[in-house]
Amino acid sequence: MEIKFTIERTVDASKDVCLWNTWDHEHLFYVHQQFNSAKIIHENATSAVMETYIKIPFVPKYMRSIHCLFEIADRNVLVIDTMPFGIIAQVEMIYEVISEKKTKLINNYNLDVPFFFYPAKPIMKYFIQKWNNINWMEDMPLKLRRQKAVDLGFRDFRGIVGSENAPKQIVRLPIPRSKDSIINHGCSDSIAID
Amino acid sequence: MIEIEKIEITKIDKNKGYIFESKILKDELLIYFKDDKYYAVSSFCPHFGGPLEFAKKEIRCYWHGWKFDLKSHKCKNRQVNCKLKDYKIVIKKSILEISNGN
Repeated sequence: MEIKFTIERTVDASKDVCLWNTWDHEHLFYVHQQFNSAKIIHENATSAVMETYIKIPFVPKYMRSIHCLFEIADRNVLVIDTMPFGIIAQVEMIYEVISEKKTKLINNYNLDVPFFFYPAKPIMKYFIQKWNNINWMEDMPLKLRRQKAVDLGFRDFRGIVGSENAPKQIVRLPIPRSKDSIINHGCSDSIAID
Repeated sequence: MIEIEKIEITKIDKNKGYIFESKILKDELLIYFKDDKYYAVSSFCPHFGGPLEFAKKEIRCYWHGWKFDLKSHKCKNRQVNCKLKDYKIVIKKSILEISNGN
């Protein structure tokens, strides 16, 4: 059984800032309440595989989930999640540039769920939208602040160094990490910063 | 070019520090008091730009859990050669003069 729906939102941040937020896997653990653990299993310049433990409604403990992210056309992102209870979620994340500092994020959800979930289809859609909304609200301050930093001439691992008119930092994958990043183990392709 | 931002010393909360955006220095500053001395640093975490907060034993960023030493301003919980951008402070009566000079 498939469940399809789309969630659209707009944020006052550039496409690069939004992409940084998507590919910055480490913040999942520190910022989002719905994630109890986040570990990068693999990442390179176009993809990433992660293991997380996520909070699911009516389940008293965090459950294991695997997330595969792929860069697709126009630097958009395809996410395939294997969730508990046999659910496979495919999310196409389209970042539509409205202006230099305004982006529309279109999430096209396509859920493959076991037949016994069929009666719960409306509830599932409700909870996924709620889940998406919570994550969106938790991410909002990061995107706005990151945009502010970039506008002031911010450079990763260096701080505010440039002028407001300097070229803006562009996201390159995989994004840089410290050598001992707590979720960096086993990722030989990660760019480690001394 | 050396720029100077002035701020009243009474604005600094000695327990929480004080954060404000300086148009003159083109940065957001965190000013705090530790061991009889005032310090001013950029409140943007040098890692990815997260908001820094003053705690009793360190400066912290909640985005990725980075911590910085209150005096040396070096990152103290990651193996990375990274420190906060700091500013010079001169106290004149009840005013802090914060500058980007050495």
